[in-house]
Amino acid sequence: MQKLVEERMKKLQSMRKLKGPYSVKISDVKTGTWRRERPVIDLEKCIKCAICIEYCPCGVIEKDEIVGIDYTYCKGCGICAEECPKKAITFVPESNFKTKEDV
Amino acid sequence: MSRLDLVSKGMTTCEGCPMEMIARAAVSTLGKDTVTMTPPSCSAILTGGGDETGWGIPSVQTVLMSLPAYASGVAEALKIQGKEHVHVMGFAGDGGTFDIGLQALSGAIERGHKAIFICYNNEAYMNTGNQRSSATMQGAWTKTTPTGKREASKNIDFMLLHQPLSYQATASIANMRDMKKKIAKAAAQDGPSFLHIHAPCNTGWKFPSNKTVTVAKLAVTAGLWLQWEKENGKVKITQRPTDWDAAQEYFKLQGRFARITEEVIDEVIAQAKQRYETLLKLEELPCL
Amino acid sequence: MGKIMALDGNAAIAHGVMRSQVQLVAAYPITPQTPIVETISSLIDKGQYNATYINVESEHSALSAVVGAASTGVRTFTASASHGLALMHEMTGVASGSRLPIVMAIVNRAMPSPMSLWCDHSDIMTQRDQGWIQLFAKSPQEALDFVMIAYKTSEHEDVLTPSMVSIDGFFLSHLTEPVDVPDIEESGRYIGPFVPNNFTLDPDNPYAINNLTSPGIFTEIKYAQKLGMDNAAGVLDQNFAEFATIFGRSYGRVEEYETADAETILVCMGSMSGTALHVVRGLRAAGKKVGLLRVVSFRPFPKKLVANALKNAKNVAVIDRAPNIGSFGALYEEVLASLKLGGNHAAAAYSFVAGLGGRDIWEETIENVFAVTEDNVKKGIPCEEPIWVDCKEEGEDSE
Repeated sequence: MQKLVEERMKKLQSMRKLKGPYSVKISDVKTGTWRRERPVIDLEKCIKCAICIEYCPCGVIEKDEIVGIDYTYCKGCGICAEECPKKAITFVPESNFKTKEDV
Repeated sequence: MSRLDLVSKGMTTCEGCPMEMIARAAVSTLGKDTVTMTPPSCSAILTGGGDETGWGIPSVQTVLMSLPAYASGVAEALKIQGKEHVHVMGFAGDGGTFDIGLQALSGAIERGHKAIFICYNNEAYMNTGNQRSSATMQGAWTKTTPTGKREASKNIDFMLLHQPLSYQATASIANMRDMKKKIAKAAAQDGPSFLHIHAPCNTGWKFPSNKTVTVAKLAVTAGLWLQWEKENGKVKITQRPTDWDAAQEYFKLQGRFARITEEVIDEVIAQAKQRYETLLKLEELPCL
Repeated sequence: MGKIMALDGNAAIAHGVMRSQVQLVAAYPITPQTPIVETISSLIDKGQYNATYINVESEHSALSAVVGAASTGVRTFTASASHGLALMHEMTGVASGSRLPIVMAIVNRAMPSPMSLWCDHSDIMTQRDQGWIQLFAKSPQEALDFVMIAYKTSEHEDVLTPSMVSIDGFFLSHLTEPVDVPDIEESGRYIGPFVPNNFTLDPDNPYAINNLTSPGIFTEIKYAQKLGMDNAAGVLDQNFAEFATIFGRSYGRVEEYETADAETILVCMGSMSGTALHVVRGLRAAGKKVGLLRVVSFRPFPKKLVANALKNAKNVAVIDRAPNIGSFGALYEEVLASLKLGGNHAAAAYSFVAGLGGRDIWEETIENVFAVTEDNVKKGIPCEEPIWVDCKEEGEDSE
C-alpha cells in the first residue's frame, strides 16, 4: 500500500468528524489496470540516470539498489521508454503477464 | 516502495499527464509545509472527489474565478497564525490564469502576498473537454475553434512583467531540473511568484502519450515556448531556441494541427521569432 | 461600561467588527457600504485596531479571500451591497456550504435594473436561499450589537453557519444616533478569541476541503448544513439572552408590539419598523386594534414565533421592501407558511410592496397599508396580487 494511503487511514481514525465537504482518505485507484502493455527495464542496459523517474507522471518508478516500477499504478503511458537515453525500457503486452500486480 | 510521495500514485489523470508531472515536481520541491489550491480544472482531479483526495498536503478546491484571491486570504491568515514558513501554492491551468482568473491574479500580485502561482498551460479548457482559452496557440483545433484558433496566444508573461512579482519564470516539462530549480527560487521569495509551465496534453492535442516530453522539447527547441526568468528586476533567458525549423515537426506530431495551413504556420513562427527578439532586448536591460 | 458615541449605521458596524476581534477583513468599496471599510482601514492604520485588511480588487475576490482565510482558521469579515453582493453570489454558497463562521454586513441597496444607489431589500433577498443567517437591524445600536451576536452564533459548534447583518442603505447606514459602544475588554471577554472548530488548512493535519462531491453523499452534507441553520434559532435566543445580561440590551428573533389582542397585524423588517411602530401607536390611541410584528432574524425564519404572534389575528398585512416580480413578496410567503403552521387558517392576509429603490416609507405609506387592508377585508377581496401601495398612478407627478 502506498505510504501516503496508510498514513491517512490512520489519521482518519484518530481525527474527529468535521462538518461540510472534505476528504481525508487518499485516492488509491489501481490505475495499473488501464495498461495494455507495460514498461520493462533491462537492468543490464540501465545506468541508473533516473531520467525515467524524473519524467514519470505517476511517480511509479523508484531507484533503490535497482530501478523498479510499481505496476499497481503504472498506466503504460510510454514516456519512460521514450526518454531513456540508453533505450533500456521496452514495452511488453500485458497478456504476457499473469496479473496486473506482477512485479 | 519506500519513498513517501506527497501526491498519490493512483490518480485518474490521463496517461502521460504533464499536469501531474508538474504537481509532483512542485510538491517534492516545496515539501510538506505547503497548502495548495486548485480551481475546477484538470488539477481538481488531484484534489479528488467523493471522500478521497490525491494530495498529501492540505488542499482546497476553489472556484475558477478567484483562486488568487483565496490564496491572498490564506497567505494573510497563515501570517496571522505565525506560520509564514508554510508555502501557499496556487495550481491553476491556463483558463483560470489567463482568462477568468486574470483579474484576481493581477490583484494578488499587486498587493504582494507571499504565494506561488503555478500555471500549467495545456493551452485549452481541457477538463471540460478541450475548449479554447486565450492561451491556445493560433491555428490549433479545439472544440470551440473547429477550423483553428484565429488569435495568437495571449502573452501573459510579458503582461505580468510590470507587475511587482518577486520572481517570475517560464518552465516546461521538457526540462524538469530547470523547472524544479525555478520552483525552489519561487519558494524562497517573500512575495508573489508566477511560474508559467508548458504542459503538452496528449489527450487534447492529439498525439501519442509517450511523445509528451518530445513535444515539450520541440516547443523549446523551436522557440515556440521561451524559457526565461525574471529575478530582482532582471530578465535572464534560461534556455535558448536552437532550431526554428523544428516547429514543422512540432506541428506535424499533433492532431490538433492536422488542418493548419502553411500561412498560419508561418505566422506562428514569425510571431515566436518576434517574441524572442523582444525577450533578447529585455535581457539587455539592467532593470525592468 | 460602554461609551456613548455618535455613530451612523456604517460606523457602528465598523466598531462592532473591532469589538468582535476580527482578525482579517477583505472588502471592496460600494455605496452605501464604503464608510464601513473606510472606518476599519482608519482604525487599523491609526494603530487602534490590530487586524489585517486586504484591499481586494472585486467583491468576488473579497468573499474569496475571506473564505480562504476562514478556511485557514482566523476570524473574518466583509461587507457589501447590491451589485457587489450579486457579484459574490457564487461564493456565498461556498461559504455556507463550507460551514465557515464568516460575518458579512449588507447595506441594503436595490438590485439593478433600474440602477439605484438607494435602499430596498432586493439585494439581501437574492441570498435567502444561500444558507446564511440573516439579521435585519433597525438602528445603528442594533447594527453594532448584531455583529457581535452574529460572531458568537456563527462560530457555535452546533451552528457553523455564516451570518449577514443587514442595515438599510442610507436610512440606517447614514443615520447618526447615540450608540452605546461596548468597552474593548468587556466585548473581548464576551466574544473570546477565535477557535477554529471545523476546517483548518494546517500542514500538520492535512486534508482536502470542498472537493467535488458525489450524488451519493451530497444530500447528507447539505442536510447537516440545514441542521446547523435550524440550531441557529436556539443559539440566537441563548446569545440574545446572554447579551442582555452583560450589556443590558435585549433582542429577540422577532419583536412584537401589541399583537396579543390585535385584529390587524402589520409584519415588516428593517428600518421601516420604526415608522410602523409610530403609526401603530397612533392608531391604537385612536382606538384601532392593530399590532406590529417585526421579523429580526429572516433566516432562520422564526416560523413558530411568527405563528404564535399571529395566532389571534383576523387580518395580516405584510410589507416586502423588494419587488419579487412574478409572485408574492418573500416575507409574505414565509408569513403565510407560518400562519398555516400556527393553525390560523381564517386570517385574511395581504402582500404589500413599498419603499423600492430608496423611496421613503412615510407614515402615510403605513397608514395606507392599514387602510387598504381594512378596505379589502370589508369588501371581501382576497389577495390575488401583491399591492404596490406607494406606486404612483399614471399621470402623477414623479417628484
